[in-house]
Amino acid sequence: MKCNFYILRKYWMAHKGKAFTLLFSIILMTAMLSAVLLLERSDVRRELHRHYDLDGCYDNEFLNVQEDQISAFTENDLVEEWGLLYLFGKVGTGTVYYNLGGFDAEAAKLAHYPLTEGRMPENPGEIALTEQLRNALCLGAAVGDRVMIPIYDQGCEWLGEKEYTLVGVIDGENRNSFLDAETNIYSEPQAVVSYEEAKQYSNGSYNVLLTLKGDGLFSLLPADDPRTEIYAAYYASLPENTMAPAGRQSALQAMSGSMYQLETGENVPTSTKTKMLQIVSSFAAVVAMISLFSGISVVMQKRKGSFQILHRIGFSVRRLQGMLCMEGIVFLLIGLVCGLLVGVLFYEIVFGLQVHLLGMSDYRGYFVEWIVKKKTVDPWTIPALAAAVTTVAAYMIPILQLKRSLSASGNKMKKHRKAARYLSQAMSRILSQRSVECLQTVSLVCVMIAAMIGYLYCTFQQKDMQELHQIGAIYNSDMVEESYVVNGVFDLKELGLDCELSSHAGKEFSYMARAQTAGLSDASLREMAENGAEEIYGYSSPFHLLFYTNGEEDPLNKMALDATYAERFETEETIAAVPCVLLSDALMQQLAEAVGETLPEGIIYISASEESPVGTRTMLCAKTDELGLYPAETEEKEVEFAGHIQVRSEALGGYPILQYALSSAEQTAEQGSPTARGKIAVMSGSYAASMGFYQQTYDEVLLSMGETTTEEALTAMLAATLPAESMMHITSRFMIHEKYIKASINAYTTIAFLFVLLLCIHIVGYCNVWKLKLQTRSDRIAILRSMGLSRRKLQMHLSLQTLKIPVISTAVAAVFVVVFQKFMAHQYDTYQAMYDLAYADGWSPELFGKADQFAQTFLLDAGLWMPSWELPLTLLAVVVCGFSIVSVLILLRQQTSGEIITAIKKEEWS
Amino acid sequence: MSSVVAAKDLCKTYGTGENAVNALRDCSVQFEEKQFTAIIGTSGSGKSTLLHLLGGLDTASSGEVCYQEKNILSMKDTELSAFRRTHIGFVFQFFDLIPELTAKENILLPSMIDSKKPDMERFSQLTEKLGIAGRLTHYPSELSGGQQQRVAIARALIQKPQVLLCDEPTGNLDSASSQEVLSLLHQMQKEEGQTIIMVTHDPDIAAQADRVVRIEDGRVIQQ
Repeated sequence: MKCNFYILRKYWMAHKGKAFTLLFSIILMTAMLSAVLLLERSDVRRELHRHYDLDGCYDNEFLNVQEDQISAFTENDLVEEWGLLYLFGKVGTGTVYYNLGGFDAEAAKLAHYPLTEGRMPENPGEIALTEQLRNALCLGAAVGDRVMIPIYDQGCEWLGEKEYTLVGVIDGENRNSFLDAETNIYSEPQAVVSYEEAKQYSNGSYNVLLTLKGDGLFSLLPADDPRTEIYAAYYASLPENTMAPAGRQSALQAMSGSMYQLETGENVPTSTKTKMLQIVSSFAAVVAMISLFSGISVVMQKRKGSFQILHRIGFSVRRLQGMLCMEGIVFLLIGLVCGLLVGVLFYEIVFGLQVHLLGMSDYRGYFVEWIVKKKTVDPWTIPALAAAVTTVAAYMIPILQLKRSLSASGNKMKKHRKAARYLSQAMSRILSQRSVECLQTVSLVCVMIAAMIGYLYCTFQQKDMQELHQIGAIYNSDMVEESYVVNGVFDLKELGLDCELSSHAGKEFSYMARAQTAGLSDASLREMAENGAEEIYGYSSPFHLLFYTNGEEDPLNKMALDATYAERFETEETIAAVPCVLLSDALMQQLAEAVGETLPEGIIYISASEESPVGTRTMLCAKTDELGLYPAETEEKEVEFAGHIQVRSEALGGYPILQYALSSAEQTAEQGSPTARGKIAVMSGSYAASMGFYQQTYDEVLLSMGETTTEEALTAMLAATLPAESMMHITSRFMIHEKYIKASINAYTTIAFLFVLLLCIHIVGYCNVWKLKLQTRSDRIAILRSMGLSRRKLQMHLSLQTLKIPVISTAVAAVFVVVFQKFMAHQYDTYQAMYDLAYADGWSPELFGKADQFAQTFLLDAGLWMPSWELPLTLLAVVVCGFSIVSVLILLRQQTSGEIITAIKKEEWS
Repeated sequence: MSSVVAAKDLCKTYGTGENAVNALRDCSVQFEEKQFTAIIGTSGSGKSTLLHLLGGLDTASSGEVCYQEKNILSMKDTELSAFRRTHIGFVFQFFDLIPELTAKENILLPSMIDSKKPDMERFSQLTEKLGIAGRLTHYPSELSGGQQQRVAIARALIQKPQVLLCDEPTGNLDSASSQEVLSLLHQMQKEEGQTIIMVTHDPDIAAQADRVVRIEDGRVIQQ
């Protein structure tokens, strides 16, 4: 043993360069792979936390808990973590109110509010507001500014104004509980002060946020699972309190299909992005293993002579094999320890760049949530295992060959029968190690394929809106172009608009209880025009005009368009609703131009067709003196008005105001829709107000400030004109762009970083192999030099040799991409056919589920595999060729910098 | 006879400071055209260093190596490589054949390097004369030491060099093979008219040369 160590030590001391290169291979491979996997973990964590942003990361939130009840919730054995939210009042505009409270440190963590800037309040006098509330109360206020906040008690009674320092802005757009804040009893506070300050107010109430042990599996367990009983007992032991939806579980579900699927190992859907990360990481593992294997193989090839000598002087084959095993283990152990440390270093560098340069969230990959662990591979054991397997494989081959090679008579060269007619062929033979070259080619093919898949993923364009809508469930908003990132409807940039204002605040999705004060009136629109807005389009999203039938006369002898609307809607007398919108003057004008006649103001024109008393009524332009069903006698009329209006037609120069297209009676009949699809009534906001209609304001306003406007000018105009009670949600093209950039960074940069690391692994591995090749062939090169081969000519020939692998790899990758795209196009068509089938005879959930599953399996996000790939592949090939040539020439320069005779005389140990 | 190659005040020092070893000290010597010169000396006397400097395989600390007044040590790599290709042939003690190439390919390698169509007539003549015509498709590992050295000589002579530099060409051969190789070198020198400079430590072999240059401690002490 001692002798073995001594010999090995002597050998490697004499070949320090090679020892370093070999060790470097193991270190680098382990390091790169662990860095790649840590980055992947970080990204999956980011995805999980984006889900947490929607609903928090607690399992249960118990509302209105009294102080003496808290322990009943928190001292239960099943509770893992818990925190308190103290709600003590409301912040509002006089018509709309939002909860005001303070989280303790644990609850703040569990609530997981998404912040667009700043932080959550920690000290008295600090406040954090949702973006929408900030815009309503103090538009333009920045983090650090002093703001006046109107405060009400929990019964909406005025308490007074208080000055706070704005320390954080909460991203309300990504929080589910904020969407229906006014009526939702579970509403989380949109204005948050420090817990210490909140506790100063009496008459507040606590919400208890908690997570349960057992990874929150309880609510998703099947009925026959034994744990179900345990949790049932847990709930039975709690006081009766309302329970809010569990945020963590919805996040975990979004990440993994369902907990039960995850635990039972059933097919777990993974997001396209995570799949992409997994694909690139897998390629990285293959490339790293190839690099390491090639490096060790090259060194081992050259050591056969040394083994022969040792064998001749009395080393048995078994002893030699043992010695090699020992050597492999020593290298592996040193390489692994150093590799993992260097991996952490690489990861920290890239992670630092992501966080500080690109503004990505700070979620490190070391200690991660169990769901992230489930969805990613371990960044420590997998690289270690891959390095160990590769090293063992690379050592096993010479170990197993040892007996055969030592018993053979000398080290015979493999015969090459083809005459070396040209120097390049001779060079190729001198430098050739076929197995290593094949592996290097496979490695580069992996790099190129990973690059192409990544490129296709990152650059796809949706085929059209229709297909995006069809894809529905698997449609990932991070991955579509800018216009759809935020609201999914308007492309402000393309339409030349600067801003969209929508009154989501305080509005339920149902049209039954719409707030009359939300939205902007004609007066506000005029004020905006006076303050510099060049184009303003206001409209309300469709509400409904009601009809009464069953032979009974309308009790009010008119349409239910006033305050009785909601009440009457709920009666059984109501049989159908026709959508109606309010249009601002500019849109009325456009509509009139589209129709080609002056729209009569002040009168609503309605008719119904006899054949289909329910659901196929058609709006007509027929004059009547009063509101109500017209005509009193059923009368069929030609549909003229609807027949030629394409409201979404931009060709007419009109603005695409509505999502409902008007259609003729025939078209409507063909559609057979049970709702009022295909019909719509229009009126101006001012007319609606004069009639005392239920809806009097425009809850959607789009405006343009002119071509040269800035974000600051837009904010100033809005601050000057937006009434607080309008509670308009502001979406400017500047904000969209910023969010688009952020979404793109989130979606693509990790993949890009992984690819760069992958490329680095390949290039370093490639250089390593060439370095070892040149080291082990230095005597041959020196002989050629002694015969008059100039350094320049040698460089030229080596460059040619170097290009062989990139050229072959590029060709293979090109063939792969062509086949891949054809395959994916075929799968996409299949998916479309499955989808059509699901809707062919009514909606079939089963067929739809199958289509959806199929789409998820093949990552068919809107035909994303279709972009042209020729240019990027060519560019990549050029880069790889360039890198290869430059690196090999540098290595050659190092190798041939000494005297020729030194290299000739430099004897191997053999 | 005129001098074809001359070393002028050649110095070669390996290492620096206290570890410095002076392999050659102001060594000046001339070699006549078509003459067979043997350089002898004890081990470490600097004879091989001198030969390598004469072939431009090593760089001198100072001094010149002139081929018909052209100092090859001042040439740039491309120029020196071309000069070596056309004017100088090398035969080494350990043959230094490329193991991946056959005997034929090894012999034709200088022509390939020179991007010239190989002179197959000369190739045939050389291989016939050297007695390796029947072993051309063999790899170096399949040849005996004597045969390998003949291949090395053929490789050195294929380009018809003016000067043939031999670094202990018989050092790795038995006495019979050594004698064969020596006879062949003499024969080639007579027939082809090359200037041969051979380093050896064997006085018997040196005695067969036209002229003997003795080197001791990096200096030419006897010509």
